[in-house]
Amino acid sequence: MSDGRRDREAKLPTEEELSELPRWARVAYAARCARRVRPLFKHFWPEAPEEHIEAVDNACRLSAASAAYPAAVARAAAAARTAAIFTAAYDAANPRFVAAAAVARSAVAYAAAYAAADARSAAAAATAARSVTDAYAFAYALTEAAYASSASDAAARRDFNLLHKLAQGAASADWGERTPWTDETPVDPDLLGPLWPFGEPEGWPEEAREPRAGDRRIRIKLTAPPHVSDEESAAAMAELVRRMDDLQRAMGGSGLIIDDEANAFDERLVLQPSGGGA
Amino acid sequence: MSEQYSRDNTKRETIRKSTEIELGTKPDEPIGLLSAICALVQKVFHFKYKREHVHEIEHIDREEASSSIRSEQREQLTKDRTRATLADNQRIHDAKRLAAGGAELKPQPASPEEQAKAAAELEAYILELRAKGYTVEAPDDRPPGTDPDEPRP
Repeated sequence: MSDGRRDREAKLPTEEELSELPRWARVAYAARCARRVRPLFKHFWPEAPEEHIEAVDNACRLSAASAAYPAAVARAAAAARTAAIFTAAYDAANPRFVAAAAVARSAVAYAAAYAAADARSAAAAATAARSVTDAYAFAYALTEAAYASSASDAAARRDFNLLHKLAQGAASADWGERTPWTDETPVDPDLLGPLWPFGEPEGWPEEAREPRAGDRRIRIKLTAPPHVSDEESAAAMAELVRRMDDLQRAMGGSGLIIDDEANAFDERLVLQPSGGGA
Repeated sequence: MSEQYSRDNTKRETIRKSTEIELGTKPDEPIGLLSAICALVQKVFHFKYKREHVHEIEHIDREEASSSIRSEQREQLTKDRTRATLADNQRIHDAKRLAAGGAELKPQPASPEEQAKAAAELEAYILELRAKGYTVEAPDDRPPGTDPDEPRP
């Protein structure tokens, strides 16, 4: 059986499995689940009050930002205060790191992940969402959505497996020495690649699809140290792009495209003491 | 020598060669295929480089650090070599896919192990470059705490 097919038949990770991940990896997993299903909130509750939509969006942003930027957690916690959806979770938690982690985990992560899995009736979503408030509105809207499928399970399982693998670290001739992740290791959810590696579930609303690349481009800037020749610099960039291309393909892409334009220039950096005269 | 010191030794001037390229994917591919690459570059330079070297970075006089001399030769070299490398890689991956049983030409995600390996190899190379004094950036950088949900760039 191919890896792809095995992934597509996978089950959601259990609570026990998720507990094996370091803290910010769990939050990143949560953020991905939330990000996947977030568009369904508005889809099933088009007339949702603006503050609820904002609260849901804040929940998704906060979980992702917390995982990727634990250092900015104070700012994230402040944002949580402004979002009614998080008030209870925030108040109950330690105001430092624990706050953002608890917020992301309890308000977004598992609710979103399991809600997507348990989805049943689209028609009941709006009613259910109206009948509850804040975090429950989000959870119910998703729980009642009709998109539980092997695709949603497989996407979540894929994230888990990848996080699990990355978190273990690895030491081999090919990979080089790597350090296993700890509870302090920041994890940017974007590292996991496309939200739906095997495609969106059947019947998934068009407006809820992950945005396509279109003509978007990423700029990669390589700055060489002094004394490096143009040839060496160009070779370093080429090797960097080759490895990026390998990663893009491993995530299911068909390879990177390079634009015609390249921009090379010399930068003069003046480093000087900022604390007054020497 | 491209590194010079002022008379009182308080000011240090460094000339560094920068090259920028733009990368994309097929238009109908998910944006996640690009943002993952940005996230990996930023992982190394946000969380490691900037923290370790924040003292030095704070000392950069940004007004004086304006970019200056264009290097057309390096532009051309970079374009040519990168394009040739991508073409080689395309051939290698096509051959692998065909060898693996290949009628299925549509790209498929590799196993999580292979994806983790590709990420690790990219990260290892970025770290290697960093150790040699290079800086790698994805300049469509987002500041911490802002919206990571927004498709980038």
